[in-house]
Amino acid sequence: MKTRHWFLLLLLASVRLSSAQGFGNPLTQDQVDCEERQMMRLLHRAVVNSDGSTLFLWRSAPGGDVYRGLSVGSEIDGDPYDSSTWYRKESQMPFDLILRESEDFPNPKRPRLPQATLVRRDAATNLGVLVSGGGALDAQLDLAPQSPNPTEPQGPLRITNQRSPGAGQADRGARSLSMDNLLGACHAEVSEFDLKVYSILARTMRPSFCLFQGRAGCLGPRLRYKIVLFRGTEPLTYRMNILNYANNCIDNDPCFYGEGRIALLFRLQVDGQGNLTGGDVQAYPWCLDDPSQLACNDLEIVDLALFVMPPMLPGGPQQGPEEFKRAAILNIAWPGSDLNVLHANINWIDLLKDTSWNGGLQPPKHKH
Amino acid sequence: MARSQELVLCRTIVLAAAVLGTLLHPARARTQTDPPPDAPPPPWGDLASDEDPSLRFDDPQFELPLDLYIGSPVFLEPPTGDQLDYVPPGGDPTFSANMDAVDVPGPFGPVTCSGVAPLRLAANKPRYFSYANVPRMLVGVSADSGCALSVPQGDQCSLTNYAQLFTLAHNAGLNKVQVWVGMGYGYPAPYGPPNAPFSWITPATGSAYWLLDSQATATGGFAAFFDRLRAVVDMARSQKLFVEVTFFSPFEGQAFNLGPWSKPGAKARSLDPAAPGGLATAGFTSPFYFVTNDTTSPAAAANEKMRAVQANVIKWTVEALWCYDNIFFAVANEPEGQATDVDNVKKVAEPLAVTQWQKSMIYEVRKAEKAHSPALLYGHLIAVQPFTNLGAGALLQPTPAPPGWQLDPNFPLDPQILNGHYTQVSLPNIGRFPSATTTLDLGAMDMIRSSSYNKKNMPLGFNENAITNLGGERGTKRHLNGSANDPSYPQYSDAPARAEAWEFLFSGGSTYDHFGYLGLNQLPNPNTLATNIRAQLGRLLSLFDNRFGLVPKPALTDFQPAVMPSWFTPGTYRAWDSRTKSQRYWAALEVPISSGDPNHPHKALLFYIHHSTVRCKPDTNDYNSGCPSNSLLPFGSYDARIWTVSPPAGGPAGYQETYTPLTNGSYTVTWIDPETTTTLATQTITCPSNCVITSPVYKFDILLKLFRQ
Repeated sequence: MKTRHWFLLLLLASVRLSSAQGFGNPLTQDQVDCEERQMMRLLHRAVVNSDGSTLFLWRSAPGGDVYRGLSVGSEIDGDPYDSSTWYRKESQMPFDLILRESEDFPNPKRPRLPQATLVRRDAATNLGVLVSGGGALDAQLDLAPQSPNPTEPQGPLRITNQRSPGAGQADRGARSLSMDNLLGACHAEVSEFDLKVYSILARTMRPSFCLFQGRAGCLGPRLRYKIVLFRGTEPLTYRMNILNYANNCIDNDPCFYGEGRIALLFRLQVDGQGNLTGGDVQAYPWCLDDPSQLACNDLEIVDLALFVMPPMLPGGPQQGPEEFKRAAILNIAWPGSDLNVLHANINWIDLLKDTSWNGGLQPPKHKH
Repeated sequence: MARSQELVLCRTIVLAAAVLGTLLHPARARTQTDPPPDAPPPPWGDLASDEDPSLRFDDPQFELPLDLYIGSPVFLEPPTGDQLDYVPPGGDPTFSANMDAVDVPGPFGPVTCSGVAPLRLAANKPRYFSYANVPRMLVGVSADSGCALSVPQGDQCSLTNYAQLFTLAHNAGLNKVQVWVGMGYGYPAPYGPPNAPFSWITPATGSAYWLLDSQATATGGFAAFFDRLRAVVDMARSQKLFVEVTFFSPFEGQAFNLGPWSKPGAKARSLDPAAPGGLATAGFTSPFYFVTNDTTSPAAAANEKMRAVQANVIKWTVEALWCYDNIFFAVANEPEGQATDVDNVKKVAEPLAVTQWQKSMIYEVRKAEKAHSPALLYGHLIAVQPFTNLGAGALLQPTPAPPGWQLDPNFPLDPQILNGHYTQVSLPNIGRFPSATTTLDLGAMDMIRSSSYNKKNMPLGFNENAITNLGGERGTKRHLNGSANDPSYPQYSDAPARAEAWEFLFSGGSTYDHFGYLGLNQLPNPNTLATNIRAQLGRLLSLFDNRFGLVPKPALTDFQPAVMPSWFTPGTYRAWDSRTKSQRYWAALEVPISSGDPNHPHKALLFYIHHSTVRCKPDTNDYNSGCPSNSLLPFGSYDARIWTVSPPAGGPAGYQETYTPLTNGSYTVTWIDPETTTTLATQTITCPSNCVITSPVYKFDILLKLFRQ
């Protein structure tokens, strides 16, 4: 029997094993679609304020009231055609987003308002450091009833990585939470395994405009991205929607906000202990004729390289060519482009080796 | 034979001729098998006269071969001389700053409408232009170019000042201008009627209107539109300027509804037998239909009827200008947008739709030109200007012949010149007409630094920039000794404009247009900035004329973007230097120099460096390894970082370069000041190993000329 056949058998066995051991239940397409719409409504309102930064969000509780996230001020750059020059350095700020249906008491004569609370997780944050442009790493939501341009929020809820009092938590009452139907959940399927996967994806997957194969590098701005993670229909499948967004200001004209979506599917393989072993990532097709579709790319020219890399610790050393060699890489250009690389296999064993996240880190042995 | 088979065969023959011609190029003939004896001769004749057996063109560590030329062979002109081989009667054969690239005998005689042989491409390297058998670069001061129009912007080219502007350009040693024909938007009175190429009808009763079916005649004290256009081109020719004639600028003007192309504006009519009085209101229902074929909207038939109007503008332009050999055409200025649509939303056009439209307009040009064959020996060169990699890639794909068109290599349907605007373009996630979102992602420096485009054997141009004397975020900006503040004129400097032009041309570009005319409305007035920039660009062109003092003087077509993997380490492009708060940009050309020994050719490297940053939005913010507002200009430019004192972080009072190691050899090292083109320092070294060369301390930019014997 050919090696590939053995591999497939092992894969099937692995998946069966994983299902049996509680790596999640199947979801209906309606449930997934519902969550995608809901998460995209939330994501539209979210921004980070520094070029090159990426914001991740995922739901962390069976109800629709608790989310986790990671704000990453990253610099992934180099000559796109010379991988020996590639580097990645970044600062991180994980946080929780807690939504409450009737928590705020602004006026005793009026009904209580829904409330959103952002809370920084200090222990895993690069506290006090500045990112590109000399600003703070942040995470921000616009909770105004309408948010045509979340980079210019009318109802801001913002935390930063600075040490100043109050920088690490913020709350705000907002009817928009109920208007956008963000307080309930489309399904209750959020397992500990899901949370582990979301955390790992948020620390290993990085978009880069600068290293996109098809441009001459990052001559201008580094773009910003915001990302939601949610479950696919099958166990061990995860969806990732990336919004590439910008506030475009030309001459003296009013600025205008734009965002475009890139949709990905991650399929994971695990061993009996729940450790990630392998898998792949696939970009969904474009849907330019009907951007209202789900699970598709509505941005025509994407110009994006995506790397699934070994994780970086907050404040950890800069990564370089060796880490990029181990990465799974997508290159997303535009429909039909020869530059497109829309699928890649991921060797999670290698990417997560020497980490405790995948059972690979041995406790230090005590010398006697 | 089926029609499609005929087309394929014709195309195959043309391509085969072009490929064969390129294979027989003297540079390649040295390294490739000679063609069989019965092979047809190259279409441009024997090029052996310029060959020098001591030159090697196959050094993989030195030169980046361009792709094969795949355009029509008719555009390839063999050289018979070089600019400086010309000795004016009784004149000095040595270099003179006033000896611009078109001061050669022969061309620019009286315009005759027979045997017209327009500007074309250098057969030895079609990256460069050729005119009167002399390879050329084209450098000028133009861009938004209403030279034949009456526009309110007094400091731009217009009917009232083009003669003055062309004289200033010529006197500065420049050789190129740009002229627009039709703008997609209009102006209010009194600038409306004279700026459209259509008849302006003022009926006894009712509102005046443009009649789209007939070209403009003299009106309101203005000469007929196309007479004015011809006069502008004629004046340029008298000043020995090449003219890029741009048919359309779809999104320029003050407002769509004020112009003749707008249906909602209702200021234009066209013949319609079915309409009352035989005339119906005409125009596009959206400005984006100017560049996008309408196949779906309820007004599709009326919108597509406007293609005939566009074809008429092209036809009228060709009728006016076909006899001129000093022009080339451009389809459109920034046809992908961006612009505000009739729904008041900023959008860009769909890049592939624009490509299709541009190719359809090229077809109209060739149809109009072919009517004058054989008096017009071949078509004028045609340029296109994409704002997206997607559009650029599609434009470079072969163009199928429309039904009824006989393929004719003298009037090919492909574009010959690829233009870019601005240093970089980054306008992400902007609404795309009619739906979805897209990204503008291709600026001129993006293009020239792309290994894909920079291998194309065609001219690459930069014909509009955002470092101008117009001020604001499109003005010049520089930091002097760490500060942008200057009480006399806070952003006054020619340095960033010079750097942009030098970087582009030293990256392999062959034509460059600075946006900056007279600057009459800018301080200081009279505008020394505009004067200085003209002079700087003239000196740059003169350096190429002079071939940088290299002896023996290389041909312009021998210059090539440099590849330096082993013998010279240029350092990281755009690297941030916290000491000087600048990014280090570089560009390099190489050129082989005859040594008389084919096994040991000399080589010269021309390595240009400037220290700038990208520009922030708003422009009053200063880049410091990032922008405080986290926003850069979507249409990019440079902020020069000039140091004449030691920065607070210490070190020399400016910049200093050190390079090591060089491979074994004997080198003449010359450092040149780009501002004055004077030599700052020179030395000869012999390097057995680990040779180190160090530049003088300089304030902003420098050119290293490294001559390896």
